[in-house]
Amino acid sequence: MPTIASSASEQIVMAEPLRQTRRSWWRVGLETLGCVLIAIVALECFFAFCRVGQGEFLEPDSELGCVHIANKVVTWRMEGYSNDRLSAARLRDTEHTLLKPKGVYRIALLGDSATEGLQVPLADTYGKVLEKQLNQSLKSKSFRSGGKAIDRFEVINFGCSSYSTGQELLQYRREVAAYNVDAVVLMYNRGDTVENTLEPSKRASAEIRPYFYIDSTGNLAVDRSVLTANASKLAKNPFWDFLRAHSRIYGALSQMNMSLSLNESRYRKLRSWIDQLSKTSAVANAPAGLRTAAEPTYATQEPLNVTCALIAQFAAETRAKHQLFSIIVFPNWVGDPILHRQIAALKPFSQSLNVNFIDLTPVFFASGDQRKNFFEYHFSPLGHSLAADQLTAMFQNQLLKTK
Amino acid sequence: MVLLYWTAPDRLRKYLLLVASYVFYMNWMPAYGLLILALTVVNYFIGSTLGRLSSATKKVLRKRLLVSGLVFNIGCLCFFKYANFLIDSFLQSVHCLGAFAQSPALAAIQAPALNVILPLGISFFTFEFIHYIVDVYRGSNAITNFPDFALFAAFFPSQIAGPIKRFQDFHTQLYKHIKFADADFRGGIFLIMQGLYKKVVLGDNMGILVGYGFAHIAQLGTLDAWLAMAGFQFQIFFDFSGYTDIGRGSAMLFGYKVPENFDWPFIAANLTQFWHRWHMSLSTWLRDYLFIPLGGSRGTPWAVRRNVMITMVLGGLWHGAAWHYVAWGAFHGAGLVLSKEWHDFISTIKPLAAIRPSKLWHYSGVVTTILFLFVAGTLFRADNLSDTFLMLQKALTFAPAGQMTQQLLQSTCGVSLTLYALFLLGRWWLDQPQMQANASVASLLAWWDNSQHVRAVTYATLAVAIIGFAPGKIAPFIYFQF
Repeated sequence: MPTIASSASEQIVMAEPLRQTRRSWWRVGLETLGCVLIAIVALECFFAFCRVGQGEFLEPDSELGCVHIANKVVTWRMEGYSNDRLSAARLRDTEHTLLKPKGVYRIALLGDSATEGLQVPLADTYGKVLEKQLNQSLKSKSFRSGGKAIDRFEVINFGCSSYSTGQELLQYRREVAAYNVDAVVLMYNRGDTVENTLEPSKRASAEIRPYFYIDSTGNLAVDRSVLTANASKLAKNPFWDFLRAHSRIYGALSQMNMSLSLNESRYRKLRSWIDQLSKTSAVANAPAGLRTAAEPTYATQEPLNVTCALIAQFAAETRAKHQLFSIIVFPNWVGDPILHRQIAALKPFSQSLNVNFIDLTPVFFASGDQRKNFFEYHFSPLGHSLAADQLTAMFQNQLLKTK
Repeated sequence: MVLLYWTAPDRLRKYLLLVASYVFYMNWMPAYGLLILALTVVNYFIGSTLGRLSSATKKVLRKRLLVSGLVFNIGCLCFFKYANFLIDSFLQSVHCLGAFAQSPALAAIQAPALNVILPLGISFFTFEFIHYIVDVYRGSNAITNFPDFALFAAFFPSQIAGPIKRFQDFHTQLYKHIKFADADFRGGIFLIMQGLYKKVVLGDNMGILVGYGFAHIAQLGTLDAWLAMAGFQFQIFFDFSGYTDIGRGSAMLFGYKVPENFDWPFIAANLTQFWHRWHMSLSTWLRDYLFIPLGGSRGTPWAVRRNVMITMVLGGLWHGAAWHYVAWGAFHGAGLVLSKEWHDFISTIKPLAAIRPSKLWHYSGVVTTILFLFVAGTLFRADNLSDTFLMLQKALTFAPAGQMTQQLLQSTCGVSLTLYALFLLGRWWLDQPQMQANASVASLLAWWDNSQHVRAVTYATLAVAIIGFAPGKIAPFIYFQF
């Protein structure tokens, strides 16, 4: 509102608030941009100092659904704690050469988050403890494999969060083969059977991964339709890949997304609704021929049959390469009846294939208070140590036998 | 909702808030919307009838109406909150009696558990109803407009876990022509951000450590035990005061003010001071509607001690239907009685009375109060009394630090607490008279006040920082269970 000032001093006083309210848009824009840039840099530095936002460790993969980010420093606080670098070969492990040195006995560990063990420092994972224990036992015992003396054991951890047995089979073919391993240990977990196969009617909301089914001829077949349908999400994108690998702000937001997806049903519903919407529009915009081409048709599978077929396939492929194949089952410490039934079915099946089968449940129960062995869902260092003890005993037994 | 509220015509705003409050509540369990509505209708009827009846001529009728209102409200609270606890406690007593009297018939008595889900916030809004009918009975004017009363009862920022409002304060706000005030809005956003930081960054991260400590008491070292005990006291403070800040901030976004619940409770030099600073809306409610009607500080010393004990035990029971809450209340009651006795005692001894005004005396009082709170908090948090004793045993016997200390060092608690301390220090510094008079500080603050875009970026940055520091799983507010 214009006012008439009676003196020069009053004019100055009156002009002050006007100058504050009438900021030009470009000045406000520049100030905002400057503040945003300063905020981003400050937050990135602060997060780096506090090791916050370093929980992002997976990136999309067109074949396996997801893989570890190479060379990524991961600080894990969601359950337990660890702060380690993933290897250049995308393993939750130290670096390993592809070429196996002479006298080395290599063991590959395949599994999901329980094997990956982000909840504990790398040195406490059952893979590392197993390696340490086997190498220590070399001081007092001598082991042989295929008639050759073993000078050193090397355990390579291929475990990756969320992997199903089927993904582990594909990972074995694509990644493990190059390391020329002597033994393969597969950790089986309760969710694997459900994750191995896909109920065709739930394809639209299925997690992005390869699924398996038994085709009309009785052979194991891969259903890559969910991967194909999400090809755009799985495709390499330099911008997002850079953020995923380097930005802690991105890491924090992504971790919040994961946390909400795991814990908040309403958030899950909202996400799946948005995904559904985007998929519907993507399908509507796709050329007519491509809309159904990627989807194989098969009846709903009996999930445990698919898991058995995958284990049989694993057994056949490892046997062909003269590798010792073993299955270790995550302990059923909560007395879950589903896992109990799965173990009851898988144990005789594995043994019929001459596959070593270790159910960790009795050993864990014998150890007393279960709260010491787990954080919430995953092994504590003590749990890892118990699992490693079982594997150490099995390898010592097996390798002494082949003396 | 905020946008809709401020763009709506003035006369419709409170109806919008009322609908939003019911939607908010029914979002959790739709059927319980009817419960809060039924309680509102009954209390509105009782209140308006009490208001109409003349206190001189209808004294007996008014008293009967008040008693029936109290029975109705307390009955509802008891049914939803304490029914299973009372049945279980009764059965346990009968079974003990059966074992003692070697009577298999008594020992075999069973009763079906009532499948009752505790309605969210029932302890809070029931106390508001009791306050309303008692105050109207005592002579305050009743609310004559039903939507106004319904909004007082259901107002969503304070619906689930308080603060327990006083209808006189709230009702006057309903009649004011509430205009959008930039300062209120900014204050509201600030309080919400502060509350989120307290709850998510401080409270929840401490909760993980405390949860680990109380789940593994047998494995704790001495330092671990102290960390767990201290951690819980600070966890509950940050969780609850965070909730209060968010509630008060949300109310301010709509132009309303709800009372403060905390006033620097950890600087209290004795327990009486502590209860004037901690959960103030509950402690003043207990004082006005329980302690004073029981006789308060009048009467013989033993009567006063009895009144304190009854008030605190019932205050403990209000928190939850379990014996460890009763023990917590009794412990606080005993602490208050002993604290008063101690102060009365030292006033009679001249050398001690002489050093009472000293800083050393004050700070030793602060430390003693905090130590008392740690022990009381253990009673509150532990699943049972034997866990409490085990924790105290761990705290008082030497054992090397274990996993919990290591977890604390690995967590973000240290950094986030330091940041919060710096923030408080900064606010205190800015409040100093010399700072208020400083021209550069004043111009900086004026620039901040006039730069909405800078404020928006700052709050967005703080929001991302909160997300970054948030633990993997956000725990529900502790006081939601009460």
